[in-house]
Amino acid sequence: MSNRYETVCIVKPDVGDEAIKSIIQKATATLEAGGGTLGRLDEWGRRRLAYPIQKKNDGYYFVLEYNTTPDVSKEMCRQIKLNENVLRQQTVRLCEKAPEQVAEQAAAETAPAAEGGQS
Amino acid sequence: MSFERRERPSSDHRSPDGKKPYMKKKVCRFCKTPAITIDYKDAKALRPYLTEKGRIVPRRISGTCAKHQRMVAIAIKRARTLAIIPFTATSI
Repeated sequence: MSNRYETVCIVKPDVGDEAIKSIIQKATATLEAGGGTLGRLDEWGRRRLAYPIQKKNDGYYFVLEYNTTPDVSKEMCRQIKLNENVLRQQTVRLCEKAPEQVAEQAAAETAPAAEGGQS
Repeated sequence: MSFERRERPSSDHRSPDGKKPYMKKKVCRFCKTPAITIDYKDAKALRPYLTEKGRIVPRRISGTCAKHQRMVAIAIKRARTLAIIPFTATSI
């Protein structure tokens, strides 16, 4: 069973672009090796941190959105965390449904209620 | 010797004449417009649910319903760990 996940990662601001790229590449490689699919890669770039982490005031943020199984996601997080240039990493399972699904569900919920009213 | 019995403090929300003060009922913003989603990555959207010191605004003030307050609180906590919003207002 596959789930949708989202990983936000903060990398040290003073490392080069290549180092950041390699982190992303490694993560996607583990993901694809485990049979997951990358949905979206969103790079926020350098951002000011709300509080200093490891004496750094800035961080390079990027967001990965993907579909995979829990084991693969766990392994991917572990891989990201192993890198010393990563300040923070957070993975969240997304359970929000797509707008169409929400509409479908709402329709399904109202239909039985209407039936109940008639009987 | 007798102790004078203290009068009970009147229920603080009531005015002296015993009537409840008129308070406009707050409606949960998220229930009113279901299109608004609660996203931990959006610092600006979480701003109204934080005090100046960075604490979570209570339900009785923001008017959020229990379900959405829970979601807001989770989002705020997630945002805090990612340094998107501060844990506390930093001095200096």
